[in-house]
Amino acid sequence: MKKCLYILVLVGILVSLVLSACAPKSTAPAASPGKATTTKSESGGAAWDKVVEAAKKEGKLTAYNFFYSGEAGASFIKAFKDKYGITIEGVQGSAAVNVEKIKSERAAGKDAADIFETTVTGVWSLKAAGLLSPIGSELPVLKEKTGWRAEPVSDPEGMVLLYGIGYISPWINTNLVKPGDEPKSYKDFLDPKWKGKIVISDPRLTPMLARLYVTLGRNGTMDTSFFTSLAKQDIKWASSVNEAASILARGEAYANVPSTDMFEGPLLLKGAPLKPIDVAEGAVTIPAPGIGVLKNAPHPNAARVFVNWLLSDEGQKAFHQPRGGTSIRKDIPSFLPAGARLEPKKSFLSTPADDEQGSRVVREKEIAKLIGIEK
Amino acid sequence: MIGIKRPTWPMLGFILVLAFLVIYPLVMLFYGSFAGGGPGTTPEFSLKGYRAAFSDLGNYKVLWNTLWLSVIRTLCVMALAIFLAWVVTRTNTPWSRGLEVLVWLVFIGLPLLPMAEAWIMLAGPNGFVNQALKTILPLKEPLLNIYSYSGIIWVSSLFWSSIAFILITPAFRGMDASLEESSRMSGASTLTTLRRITVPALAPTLLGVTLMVFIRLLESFEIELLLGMRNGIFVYTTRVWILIGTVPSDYPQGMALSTVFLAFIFGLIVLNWKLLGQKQYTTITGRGFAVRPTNLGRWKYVTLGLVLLYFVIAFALPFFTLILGSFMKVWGVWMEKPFTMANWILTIKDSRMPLSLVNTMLVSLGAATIGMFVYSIISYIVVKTDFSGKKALDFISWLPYSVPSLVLALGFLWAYVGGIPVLHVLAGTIWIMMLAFIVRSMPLGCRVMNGSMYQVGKELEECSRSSGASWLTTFRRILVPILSPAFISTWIILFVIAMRDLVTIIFLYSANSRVISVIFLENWIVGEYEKATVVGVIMTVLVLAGALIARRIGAKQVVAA
Repeated sequence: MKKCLYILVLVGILVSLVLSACAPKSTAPAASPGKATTTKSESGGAAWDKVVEAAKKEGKLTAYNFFYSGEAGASFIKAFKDKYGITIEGVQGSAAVNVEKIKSERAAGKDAADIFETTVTGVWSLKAAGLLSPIGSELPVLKEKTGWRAEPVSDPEGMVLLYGIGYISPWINTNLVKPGDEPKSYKDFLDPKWKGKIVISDPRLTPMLARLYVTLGRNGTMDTSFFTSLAKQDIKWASSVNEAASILARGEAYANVPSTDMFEGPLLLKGAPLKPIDVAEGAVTIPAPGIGVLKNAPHPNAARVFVNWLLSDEGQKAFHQPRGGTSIRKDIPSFLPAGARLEPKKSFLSTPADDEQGSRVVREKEIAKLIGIEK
Repeated sequence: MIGIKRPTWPMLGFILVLAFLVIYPLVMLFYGSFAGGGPGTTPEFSLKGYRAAFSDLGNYKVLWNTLWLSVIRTLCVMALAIFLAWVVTRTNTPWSRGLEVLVWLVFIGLPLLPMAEAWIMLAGPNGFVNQALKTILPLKEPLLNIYSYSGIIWVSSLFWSSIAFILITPAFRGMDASLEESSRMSGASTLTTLRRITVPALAPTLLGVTLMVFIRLLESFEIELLLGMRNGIFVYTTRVWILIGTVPSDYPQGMALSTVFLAFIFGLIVLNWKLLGQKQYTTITGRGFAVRPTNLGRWKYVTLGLVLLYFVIAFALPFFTLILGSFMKVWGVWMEKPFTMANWILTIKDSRMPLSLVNTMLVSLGAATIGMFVYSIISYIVVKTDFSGKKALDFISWLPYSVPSLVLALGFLWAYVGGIPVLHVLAGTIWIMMLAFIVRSMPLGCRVMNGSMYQVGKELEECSRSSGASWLTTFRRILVPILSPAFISTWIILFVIAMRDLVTIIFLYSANSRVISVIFLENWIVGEYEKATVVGVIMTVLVLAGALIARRIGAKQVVAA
C-alpha cells in the first residue's frame, strides 16, 4: 500500500511539474501591430499618439467583463489584437462578483483589472466606490462628428461610458405565438390565455423589469396596476436575462417580458424562433453595456486605447456584429435580419436618473412585491 | 486509545495553522455581517443586517422551505444509499464490484449545474420524457414538471445518494457478518435482518452521514437555482444569492442570514457529537471477522437490475443528454437542423483552454494529494489520540461545512485577497484555489478518513507502541497500510471536487489562474449554454479518467479491504 501511495504522490508531483513546464506563458507577447491601419478615431494628435505608443509597449490589458467570452468575444478580442498587438485577458463574471473582486484587490493593493465592462448599474457602482478614472475628455473618438444613438458618456466626469443600445420590449417565441395572436400592448399579457406562458427575469437580480416600471412609468404609458395584474398570470421566473432568453428559445414560455436584442440577438442569429414586439406603450431605449477604466489600472494606456477603439466604427462592428446587437453609433446599422429587428414607433430613453430610481431597494421593495415574487 | 495526551510541537503547530486557515475566512464573514462589507469598504458597524434579516417575513418562509426540503431529501438520499450499500457489500448480488464502481461514477461523473441542465432537457416542459409521454398518452400538458419541489427532490436524491453511499460503504463492508447470520439462523427474513440487525449495528455511522447529508442539503445551491426559481421556490442559498449576487449587493443582510445559519449548523454538529460520542463501533480488530454475504436467491437479479437502473437514471441518461446538448446550435432548441460541430471546434480552439487545463491538473492533483495527507493527520489526532485539544480540532474540521460554498468563497476573497497584507501574495494564484478546495472538502475528507480510522481497533496500535514505535511510525507502518482504501477514496473525492467545483473559486481566480470549471462558468454567465455543455462533458471525462487511474493504482488495496 505504501508503495502505491508513494506512486500516487509521485505521479501527482511529476504530472504537475511536467504540466507547469509546458504551460503557455501568461505574459503577453511584445506589441507588434501587424495590420495596423489608422482610422479617423485615432487621429487625436500628438498626445494621443503617445498614449497609443505607450499602450503598445504595455502589450496587454485585463478586462473584468461580462460580454467578452464565447465565440463573439473571441473574434472581437482578435480584431483588437490584430490592430494594435495588444492582448486582452478577460475575467468574466457577473457585475456583483467582479465588483467585489476589484474592491478586494484594491484593498490589497494588488490591482489586476484595467477595464470594467458590464451592466450600466455595475459600472456606476464602481464609480460610486471611487475606483474609476475620468477618460471621457481624452478619447479622440468622442470628438468625431459621428451621430450617436445615445450619449456615450453618461456622467459629467466621463467615467462611465456606454457603447451599445438595447431596445427593451416583449419578445415572443414565433413557433408558439402565431402572427394573429401577437400582443400589441403590454396589457394584452393580462389576458387569461397568457397564464403560465410568460417568463420574466427576477427583478431582484436584474434591472430589466425596473426599466418598464421607472421609464415607462415616468412617461405615463404604464402604471403600477399592470404589475399587480401581471402577478396573477402564474409567471415563470429566471435567475438571469440570459436564462430568460434561453427559456423562451426552448419554448418553455411563449413570451419574455421584457428583454432586449442584446440577449435575444445571439440566439436569434443561430436560428432560434424569436421576435421582438413593438408595443403601444413604446420601447425603452437603454444605452448599454457600460465600461470604465480603473483608476489604478496596471495598463492605463492600453485600457484607454481599447475604449477608444471600442467606440470607433471598427470596434463597434467587431463587438455588435456577431451578437446581433445595436451600435451606439448611428453610422453602424443593426445586425439583426429585417423582421427580427425592432424599429419602435415610440421609444423612451432610460436615463442615469432612471437607473438611480430603479435601484436595488426599489426593485426589491416595490417591483418584486407588486409582481408577487417578494411576499 | 493509544495514550497521547499531550500534543507534540509539530502537532500543535499543525493544529494552529489549520485553525487559522479555516477560521480566518469565517471571521471575515462575521465581520462583514456587522461592518456592511468586506475589505475596501468603509466599515459602518451596526446591526442593520441582522435587523433586516429578522424583520423580513420572506426569510422565515425561505428558512422553512430549506428545512423541510432538506429533511425530505435527506430521508430519500439515505434510504437509497443504504439500499445501494447493502446490495453491494452485504449480499451475493452478481457483479457487486462493478456495481460499486457504477455508483462511484454517479458521484464522480456530473457536476451539479450540468446535471440539473440535463434534467431540464429530459423532464422540462419540452423535455424528451414529456415529449415521449405525449406521444403515448392523450396528454395536453406535460406530465412531469422538473421545475417543482419534487423535481428538486428527485435530482438531489440521485446525486447525493452516491456520496452517502461512498461514506457508508466502508462501515457496511467492515461489519462482522456473524451478527446477520445469527439473525437469519433464528428465522428472521433478509429484510428483517437488514432492518433489525444491519442498520442498527451501523447506526452511529449512518447517523453521522445522515447529518452530513442533511447539512449539505441545507446549503445546496445549483439545483435550487435552476429548478426552483422558475416557479418561485426559494431556499436559503438562493435567497443569499439574491442578496449578494447583484449590484449593489446587500452584504449586511446576506452575511447576517449566513451567520444565523452558521449558528444553527453549529448546533447540529454539537448534536452529532452527543449522538456519536458515547458509541463504540470498532469493527476491524486484531481477530478475524466474517464477511459472508447474504444469499438473496433469485432476488439477486432484481437487486442487480435496480442498481443498474439507478446508474442509468442518475448518470447515463443525463450524461448522454448532455453530450447531445453539446452538439446543438441553440441548447434545447429543436430547429430544422439542430446539430452542429461548431461548439466543440470553438471550445477546443478557445485560447483559454490550454492554460486552464494545465491549471486544472495542477490545482486538482495538488489539492487531492496535499488534502489527503492533511485530513489523515487530522483524523488520526481526532480518533486515535487522547489529548484534550482533539475536540477542538474535530470542530475545526467541521467548520467549512457550516456555510454554503458561495459564502465561503466570499470569505476567502475577503480574507486572502483583501485581508492581512502578508497573505496577498496568494491573490489570483492557483495556490489560493488549492487552499480553498482543501478547506472546503475538509469535512467530507475527514469523515471518510474517520469512518475507517474508527474501525481499526486499538490493540493493533498498542502492539506497535508497546514494541517501542513512535506515534509517527505507528501511523506510517500500521494505520496507513490498513487505511489505504480510505486514502484512495479521500484522494478521489478531493480530486473530483477540485476538478469541478464551480462556486468555491468564483471570487478567487484571475486571467492566469483560470481552471476548466471557470470556463464552464464564464460560458454559462454569458448565456453560451452549448459551449458550457461542451466544457461540462470535457470536465466529466477528465474527472472520470483521473478517478479511474487513482482507483486502478489502489485497486489491490480496495479489493484486499
